[in-house]
Amino acid sequence: MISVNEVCKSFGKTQVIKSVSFTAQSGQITGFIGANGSGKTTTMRLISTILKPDSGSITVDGADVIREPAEARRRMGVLFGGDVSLYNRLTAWENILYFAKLQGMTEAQAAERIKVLSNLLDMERFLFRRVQGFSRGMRQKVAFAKSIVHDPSTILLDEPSTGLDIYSIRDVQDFILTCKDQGKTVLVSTHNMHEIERLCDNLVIISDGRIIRNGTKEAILAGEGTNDVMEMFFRVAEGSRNA
Amino acid sequence: MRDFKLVLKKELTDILRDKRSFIMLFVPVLLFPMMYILMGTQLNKDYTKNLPCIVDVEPGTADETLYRTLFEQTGVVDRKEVKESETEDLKNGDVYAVIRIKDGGITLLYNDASTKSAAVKDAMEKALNEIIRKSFEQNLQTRYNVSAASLQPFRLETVKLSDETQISGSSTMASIAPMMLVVIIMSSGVSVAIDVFTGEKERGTLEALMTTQVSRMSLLMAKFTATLCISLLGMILSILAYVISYMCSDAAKYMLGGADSGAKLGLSFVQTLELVAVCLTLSIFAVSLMTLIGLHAKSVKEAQSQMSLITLIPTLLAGLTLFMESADISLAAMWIPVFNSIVSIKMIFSGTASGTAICCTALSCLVYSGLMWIVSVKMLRSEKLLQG
Repeated sequence: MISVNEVCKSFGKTQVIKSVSFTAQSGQITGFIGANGSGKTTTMRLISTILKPDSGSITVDGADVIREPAEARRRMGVLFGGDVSLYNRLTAWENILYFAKLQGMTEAQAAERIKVLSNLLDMERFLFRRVQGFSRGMRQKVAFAKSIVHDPSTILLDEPSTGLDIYSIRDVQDFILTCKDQGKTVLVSTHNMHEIERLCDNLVIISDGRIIRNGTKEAILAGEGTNDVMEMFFRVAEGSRNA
Repeated sequence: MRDFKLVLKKELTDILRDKRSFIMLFVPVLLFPMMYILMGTQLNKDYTKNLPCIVDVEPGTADETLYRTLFEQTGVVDRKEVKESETEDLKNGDVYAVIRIKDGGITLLYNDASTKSAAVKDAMEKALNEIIRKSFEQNLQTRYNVSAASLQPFRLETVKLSDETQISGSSTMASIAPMMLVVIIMSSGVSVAIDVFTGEKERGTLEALMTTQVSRMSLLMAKFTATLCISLLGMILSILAYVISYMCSDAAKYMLGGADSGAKLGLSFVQTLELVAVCLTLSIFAVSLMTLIGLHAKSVKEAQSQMSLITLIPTLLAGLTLFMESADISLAAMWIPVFNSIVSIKMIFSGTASGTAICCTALSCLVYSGLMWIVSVKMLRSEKLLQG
């Protein structure tokens, strides 16, 4: 479970995160949505220990990201937006193995896990090829695998299907659903409304560094009087701007 | 320690699979011997040999004898024909001198814009002075029975004091070689440093690394060590190229050791230790500087432009030392980074290094490296590191 409580963050004099609070539950997929520059990526970076909050607290499966950052990192897998950049001169296997070892896994544990992930993400045919020349879809699968190779209980995904073809999107989305079925906490930041519709159980909507809606997808849709996620988003965003 | 080894192994694998690393490391090995051989061949060449000149001399006279003696000594040849006019031919580079000999007087026209023409003039002057000196001594002896030596108020005798381990201060090995060695040390790790620091930032892989268990200190140390390894490898390969060219080619030997230095390439045990200390500490300094720039630069392009200064500055400083006598450089100046290393290597090669100067050089490099490390660690821990 991810718990974000009253978190604030400023860069210089600009406050980009303003007292943000929300919870992402285990065994559920939480969609984190908002326009560009609304504070999604900064919040993800705060949760992933890359940035430190100015105030407030964040816990990942009970581990405080400020007091126990190493423990929090052990419990989560992070895939940042556009993070399809791998080490081009290493093979897909070597890329994933490197991250597995950095997460404290032994060679044998890592090899076993990579085989499982390779099967789930359909990577067998390119697993031992150097990453240079891979398509975006292939790269995204490898990046995905390297992020979760240590089998974390919490997964943070920043725009996981951006730039992917339809087959790769299906593979990635199916994999996210598998993670949910395994009881993992999944927080997905995305602009893809179809993805939200298909994957998310809960939604957290952020605008200008503030949480403007937080709850189950159905409740938020009902609250805005529509069944269409895109329409709901526009209404919420419009309402927030007028408020 | 486990993380350090892991990151280092990955970095070295990545670097050694990169074609650019091979170019940076092995091009000097191939290029330097060729360069030394070509330059040595040019320097060793008798410049005046077979250079065409126009000679105006009356056949069958004493002047013709003088002309033949002069030509034998200088090696220039008489082209015997004029294309346009003597002066036009000289300006056009068809001939390198016009020599007129009449009644024992010699008029030499040359083109000072041409190196070869100037060489003919110098050779002619030298040969003529020798002829005049010999003729004068002969006349003194035959006409007055007096030896020229007895008339000389002073006699100059020069004695070369340097032993075989010392190299002529004016030789290439003592002047240009330290500069080249320093430039190689300063530049061979550049592409690696850009890739492992700025490249990782630009690709987004550094951000991904920060979400793993690896400590930032292990990351920094491993990346630093990988860059240092490549920098040292580049230096070793360049020295190897240097030794090979010295041993295998007379032209390169002439180029590196000087015409009459009689220098042997071997350094004494102490000189070798001094050289290792200077080169190693300079490498540490260079890689610390590259680390700092690599972490500071926001993009690979920015890093490349900043790193180009790393190769430019040593070249400029080395140029400065060409006109300085190592012994005249104060101890305070030996705290100027890079400059002190060039001077120290010069001193080591010429066998005039002092322990104090070498210690000063090595210590200053380590002190500056330490300071840069402190800044690098702060930068790596800063949130600004990953902000574009």
